[in-house]
Amino acid sequence: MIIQVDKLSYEYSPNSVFAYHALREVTTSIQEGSFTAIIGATGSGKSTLVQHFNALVTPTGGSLTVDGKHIVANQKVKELKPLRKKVGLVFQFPEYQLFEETILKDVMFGPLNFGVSIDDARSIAQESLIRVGLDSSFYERSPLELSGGQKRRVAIAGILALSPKILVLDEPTAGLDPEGSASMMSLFQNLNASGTTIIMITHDLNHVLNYATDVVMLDQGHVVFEGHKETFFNETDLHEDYGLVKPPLLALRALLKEAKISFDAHTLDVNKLAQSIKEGKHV
Amino acid sequence: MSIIEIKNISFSYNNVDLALNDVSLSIPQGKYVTIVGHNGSGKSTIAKCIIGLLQTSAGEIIVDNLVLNNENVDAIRSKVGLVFQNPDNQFIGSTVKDDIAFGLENRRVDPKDMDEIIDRFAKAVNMHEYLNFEPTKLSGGQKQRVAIAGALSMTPQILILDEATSMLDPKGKSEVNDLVKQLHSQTNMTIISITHDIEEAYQSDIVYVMNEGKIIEFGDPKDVLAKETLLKSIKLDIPFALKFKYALNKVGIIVNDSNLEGMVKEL
Repeated sequence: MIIQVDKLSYEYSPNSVFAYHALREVTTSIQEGSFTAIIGATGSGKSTLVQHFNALVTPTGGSLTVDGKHIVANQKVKELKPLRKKVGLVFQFPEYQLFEETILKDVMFGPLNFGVSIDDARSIAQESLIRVGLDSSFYERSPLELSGGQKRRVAIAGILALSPKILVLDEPTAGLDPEGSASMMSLFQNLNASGTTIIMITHDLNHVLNYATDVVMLDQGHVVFEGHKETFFNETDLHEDYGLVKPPLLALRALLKEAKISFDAHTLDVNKLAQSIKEGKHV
Repeated sequence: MSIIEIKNISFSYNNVDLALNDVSLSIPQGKYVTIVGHNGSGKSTIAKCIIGLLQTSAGEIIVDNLVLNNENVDAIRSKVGLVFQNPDNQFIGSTVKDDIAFGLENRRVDPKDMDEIIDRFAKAVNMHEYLNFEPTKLSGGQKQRVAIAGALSMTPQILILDEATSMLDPKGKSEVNDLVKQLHSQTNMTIISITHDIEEAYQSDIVYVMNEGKIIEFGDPKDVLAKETLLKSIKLDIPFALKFKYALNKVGIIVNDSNLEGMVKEL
């Protein structure tokens, strides 16, 4: 358990006419090394929840523990720096936050802020840029002349330069073309394989299906599901109850079920599904 | 009959690289046409050339029997509605009603008739309950539907959607796609959708695949999008229904249909 959330509530503008409960007594946990998708409709509290993970916001009720650091309600959190280094938070459209003259400088900004020497910061930045697939020809270019997908890579390299244990991503592929989106997702998959815990907010159930290991689903500030991806897709109809758009594989499974064709209802892989139809085995 | 006839057009943004390289296509009246390809393949450039926003360096464009030139450009623009990618960049009015009214005012429609026209098109995109809403209160999908209503209120013969759903979440995407499908079946309007969404392309009548400023393949999506090797070579995926068909083939089950419903029936 790398993150444990315990009866966490968060209210925006408390005691005012704009008071709004974004999270209500949320209890959930994130497994170390997992690739956890956070899903739910707009306004369900996804972004508010993940912003607690690096103490960008702190609870108005309840508590959470992030990699050993306990954060309780209404308590000033001291010594946040280590937490900020451990948990990298990538906002939606992070490319809007690039500001330095050159790409290398932009990625060096984080490490320099954490007191790393210029030489070390440079080599860390170079490594991070390689990890996101940008070679040395990019170092001295202005971030502003890049394409949308490339800019986003620079922004993510800036977070990776702090070598976070946990990477939190808020809809990282929004607005990218399919090729950009797929290569971005495989970057996260590689980071996950090398040990980084990935927490990703997404609206796209295809990404949940193809990349995630676990799912946390929110609705109106409450957790309505937490568990393995397979459990989510195989044993619940939650994606339908909450009007999420069905990935084609699930649409196919519904059709097969309706036609009373026997197939392996546990596989999420199209080739295995075809094989199970052939074997006519009902699992 | 072709409503749009494009003959050997070329275009360059910088006089060095050709964004469109000797492109010809012919779009039949009343069809739902998709153009797929990656960013930079020239998809959007074609749309901008058709309405004369960009001037081609060679070739000819004919829209509804009018040759695109300085004389005809206004007439051609009145036949073509265009909806762009970013929902926020094309919302001009302070409310939904004002936004749809903008085009009508430009066309000097009698204010007495305007309410009726606005109502009708707001209904067509299922936004009539939001007429007095400000854009900040709308989702991306709702804003795009208002943009479509604005384009439709000009009663175009051709509706071009330039990646109109690419910034929307899956729900907004399906709202807009369903609306477009419905419009197409009800009105016989020619629809040209420039898209990244291979599943949407699979549902269309004709698909054009673009790469590096050229059309590399076109025709019935059932055939064109079945060319796995070709699509993979330009890093596009094949539609899910065909993935399933191939997966069945691999284990020795042969089905003839190319839609999920049809294949399941055969099984």
